[in-house]
Amino acid sequence: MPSLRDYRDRIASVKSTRKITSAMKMVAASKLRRAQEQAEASQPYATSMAQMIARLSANTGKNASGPTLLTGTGKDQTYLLVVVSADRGLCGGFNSNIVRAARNEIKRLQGEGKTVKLVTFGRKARDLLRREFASITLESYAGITSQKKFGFEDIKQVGEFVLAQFAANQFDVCQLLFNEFRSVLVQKPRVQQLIPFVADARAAANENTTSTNSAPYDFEPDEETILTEILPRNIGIQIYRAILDSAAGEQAARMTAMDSATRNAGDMIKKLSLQYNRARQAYITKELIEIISGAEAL
Amino acid sequence: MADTAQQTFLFELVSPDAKLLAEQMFQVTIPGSEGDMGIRAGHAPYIVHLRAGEIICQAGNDNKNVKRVRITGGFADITGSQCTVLAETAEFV
Repeated sequence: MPSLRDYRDRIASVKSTRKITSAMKMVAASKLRRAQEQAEASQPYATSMAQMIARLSANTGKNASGPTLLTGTGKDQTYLLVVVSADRGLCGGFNSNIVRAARNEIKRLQGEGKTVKLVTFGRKARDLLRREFASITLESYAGITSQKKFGFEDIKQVGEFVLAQFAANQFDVCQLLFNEFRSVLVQKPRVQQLIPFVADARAAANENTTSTNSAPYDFEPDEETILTEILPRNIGIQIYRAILDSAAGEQAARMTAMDSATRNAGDMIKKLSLQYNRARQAYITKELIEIISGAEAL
Repeated sequence: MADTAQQTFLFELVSPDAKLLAEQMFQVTIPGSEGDMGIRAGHAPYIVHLRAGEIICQAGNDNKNVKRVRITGGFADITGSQCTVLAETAEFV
């Protein structure tokens, strides 16, 4: 049976754990707000660009002579997966979810006989996928989202790397895997295809309703030149958006995880205090009995 | 139209990190890849590739209230009532 002192030490240790988790929760909450703001600020650019591409591809999409970023290489043998995770842990199932989704996707594609290549973003994706897939990993980026501040400039290199690989015919299809920020409580792994370009269903629907009642668009210089300029940029911006979404999701996941950890610690302290008091009571009773029986013996 | 001189349209300047400007403008001059373009309200729908250069935004039909923005290339989406410029980097002068 644990002594009174053991109980006291346990309680003190759980209390200090609770202090840490509740501090982490506060920090995550304030970081979440900032991350959400940043994700929202990037929204207009991404939406306008998607709309523009939808308009452009409505004009050129039909003929096969469009740029390969739009139409693809005509094959789908080699896949490039870009997996976005967090740099830090202690955020519930956030990282393990995305890594599990990545692993399943790789296995599924390999089962279909495709070649899969991997680019990881975030320390956790790199560390968790390294053991199994080191041989197919082309590049890993880490430590960018855990910086105090990061912007489009810091993320650009990822898109540039992907484009360089595409230009060198290293893959046919590029997919982006990231945790989509649905709400503070829900982040879901999502697969988004980057190359060949698939119009965002929402932007396309938007476009269909507006294009029917407005004048036809003119282009300068011409559709194809604009497309070859805009598509590479779109890759970069899509990756940036996914990373911002994932960064906001990370903070939200950490906040929820730390909130429940704090609550669990509270419950544990309650339970331990009860046991402690009971043990103390038993000890006092035992001493009383000893004193009384000692007095009776006199 | 008699009041053409007063007509304005919504001009938006967007970068990946933020919406930098969203104001009613009388005339905006953008550096198109094949020459500068002046845009006023009711301009025909256009999608333009922009070279590096300067955007000049005039809020009224005079030279007061002029904003100049330097960009390193981008795209402009012009509809009759709105002009959206997507620029990767933009710097107010």
